[in-house]
Amino acid sequence: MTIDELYGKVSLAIFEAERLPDQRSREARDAFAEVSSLEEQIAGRLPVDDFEGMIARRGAVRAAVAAGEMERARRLTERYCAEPHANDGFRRSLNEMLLPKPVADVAAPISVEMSNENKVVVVDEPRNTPKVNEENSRMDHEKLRRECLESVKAVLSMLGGGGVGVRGAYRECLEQYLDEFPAEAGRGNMLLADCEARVLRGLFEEDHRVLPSALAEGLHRFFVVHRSICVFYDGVRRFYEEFSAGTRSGTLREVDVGDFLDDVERSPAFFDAKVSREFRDIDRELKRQEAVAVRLEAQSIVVPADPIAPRPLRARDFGVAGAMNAIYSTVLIGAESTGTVRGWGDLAQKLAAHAGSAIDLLREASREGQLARH
Amino acid sequence: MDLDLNALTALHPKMHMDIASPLAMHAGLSLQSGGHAPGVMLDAHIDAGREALALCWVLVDEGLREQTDRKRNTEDGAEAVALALAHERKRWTFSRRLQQGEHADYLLSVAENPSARRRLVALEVSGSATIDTARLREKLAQVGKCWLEELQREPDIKAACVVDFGPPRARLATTPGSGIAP
Repeated sequence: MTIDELYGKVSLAIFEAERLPDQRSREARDAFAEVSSLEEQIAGRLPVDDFEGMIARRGAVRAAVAAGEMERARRLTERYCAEPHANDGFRRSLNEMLLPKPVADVAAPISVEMSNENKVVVVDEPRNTPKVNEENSRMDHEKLRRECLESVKAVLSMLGGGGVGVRGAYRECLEQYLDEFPAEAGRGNMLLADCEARVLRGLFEEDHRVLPSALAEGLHRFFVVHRSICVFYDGVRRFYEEFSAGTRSGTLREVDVGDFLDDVERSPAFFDAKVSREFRDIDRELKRQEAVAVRLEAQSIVVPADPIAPRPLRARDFGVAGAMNAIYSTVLIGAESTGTVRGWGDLAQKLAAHAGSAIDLLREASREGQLARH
Repeated sequence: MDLDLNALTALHPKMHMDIASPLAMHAGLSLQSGGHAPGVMLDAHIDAGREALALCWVLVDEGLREQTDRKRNTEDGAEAVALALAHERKRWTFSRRLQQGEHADYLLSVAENPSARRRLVALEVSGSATIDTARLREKLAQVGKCWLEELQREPDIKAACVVDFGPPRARLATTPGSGIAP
């Protein structure tokens, strides 16, 4: 077959593969496998230092990835990278194609972006801005915000002198709640404030029979006001809804989480220090929430139904995976926009090695996974 | 001068009929959706010049519109117009389609003296509800970027074409520094 005939065939194969309605279906994977095979044949006819030869090699790897044939994609990459006249840029571009693709538009407990100084920074996020409409006015939100803070302070003052015979964890939770609560639009982290409220709720369910009645009433009042104010923060509901929508069969590997965070912390030229701080906060708070939920389940303590998060178990895995996905995704943007300069590509490779299990879990647990299964 | 959207395989002999036919059909549907009939004039901006070209196509069964996606009609239809225009006004001919992610939709070749080295054109196409220079700049930036940095190689000419089916308009331009063929 001539190059022109192969070009004709591969063009048609690409045209048909990219037009299949479900790009994750068996049919689409088969179609991309065909594209990869044709591109490989073209690559065999053209030298690696020729533009069209490079395009064909990239095409063979790209289509193998789209076909889900990662082993083949890796083999082709190794083979093409080993060709004597392959240049470094070409080799790097092939390796970048093997990087896992982050999950798009998934609720994450952290929002990051590239700053003008080319650093990944934490940004304020709509999740922390109350959503006000005709039914729930700004006045209602402001009133609830005041009531909420007053109720926290009232409980703290009851706990103030010590000697009320309750666990120190109550004070800890309330202080953390105040730290995370969006004192002004966009600031704070309502999801983490909500986590504290959930941990507190768990403690309360365990202890309510033995708590002094004034304290129990104070806490109860806080729970009622907190739940009311959560209605204003769409992002909290979205977070729990999204991961509750899919199955949760995957596991987030702890070693990956640790290594990912280590790489972030070892790269101060690329990350603002707040990124890892916020990541650690998220991990810690979601873990505490989960630990309390597990403990309550073990004690068969039934917590009153919560319309926002009927069953927050495993929220930690979803939240931490979401944070990893968001950070990794921003680094990929950095790698793409800055090209080969400043080491973004290398950083993306490093983070990718630890982000895979998080992305798999997220894909499985999120709506995307649910959609793909139907 | 006419631009015959059903003659894509005549203009681009290496293009498979199974690509050319759907592109022409989508272009027809997009044009008919805009209330246009064959013979409508295309306001074509090519580099710094501007001219009017009559668009020809075989009327498409309107029933097909319900079976097709509007976005697909616009995007594929834009490709039909861009490929026809690229040939009529630049003598660029189809070599191959590129995969998504490759910064352009098509590799074309410049029709030159057969003894000369084959010159390649990367063409990025976009269909749009409203045509504007910002969109064209965005597409030119897309087709203009990365290859040289990534591969230390790039096509001889990098071009973008933005097509609008409201009043039919097209803008075809090459990136600065690209050799502009007649």
